[in-house]
Amino acid sequence: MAQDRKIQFSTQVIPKIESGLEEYSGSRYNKLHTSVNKKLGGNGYIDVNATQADDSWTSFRSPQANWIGNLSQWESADNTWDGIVTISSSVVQLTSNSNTMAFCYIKNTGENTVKVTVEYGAGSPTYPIKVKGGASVQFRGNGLNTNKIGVIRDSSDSTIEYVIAKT
Amino acid sequence: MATNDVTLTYKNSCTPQELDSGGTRWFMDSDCGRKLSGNSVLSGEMGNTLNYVATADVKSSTADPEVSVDLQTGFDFFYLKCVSGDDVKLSFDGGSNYLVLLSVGEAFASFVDSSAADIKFLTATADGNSVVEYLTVT
Repeated sequence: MAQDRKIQFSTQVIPKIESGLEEYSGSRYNKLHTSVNKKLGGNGYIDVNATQADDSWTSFRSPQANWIGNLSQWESADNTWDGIVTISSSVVQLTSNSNTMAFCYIKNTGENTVKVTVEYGAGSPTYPIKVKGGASVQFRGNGLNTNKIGVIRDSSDSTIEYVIAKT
Repeated sequence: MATNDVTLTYKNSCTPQELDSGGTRWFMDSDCGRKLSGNSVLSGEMGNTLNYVATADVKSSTADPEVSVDLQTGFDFFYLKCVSGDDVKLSFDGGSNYLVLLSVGEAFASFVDSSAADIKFLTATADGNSVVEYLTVT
């Protein structure tokens, strides 16, 4: 059991606009968008519970974890042992544990866009967050339970890795 | 025709950390073992109308006068930073549920589904006051 845990996180956004000349397509370049004229972003950290519900709070195991120590989880694991979760046309609930969520991070490790819901289990959940291949999204919860996070593909299958920590 | 297409590069990253058994040093969490990061460039997937608000005062729904910022459905990218004041909470469903929280200095950025995300935000504290900056691309 860990003595304590925390997660540092940061976000960066660079808005650009393409410029160029009418007849010289090779001269086009991106510059900072004139309405913003700077890079945007923020960062913070959050204390999360030292004792998470179980090993499903992350999709992967540490490279330093030993195989013998993981046998019980290895046998019961679905498809998360290598840190990669396949996302198809059926929504994937990241964890069935119902705890107050502190923080969630999801990265699309595949090539096709996936969508995220924060109301898994609702009659008709909406998927407001889209994550392109290679991109990630992260957010702190505000009375949100860990079992409410679900991921589904947009149009074609993909894969994700994730962290979902309780308070 | 000269172009004016909007392009966004964005990155979200986090580092889960764990305190050692002696309670003296923080290490990368042994359940993850590494820093986590993802980034993307958005251009053709979204429109070219960028709206950036450098400073917006936001109050809670119980403040007088009631002030919140309601961004209707229809945009493709959303960025919000809590610049100062009280925590800000964020709704993706038009204000029925505020399930995401930002403290001062923290930011949220994501590609969003233009047909599903009806974003609204206000302070998380009753009678609170916050200053935010936000950006949308439609």
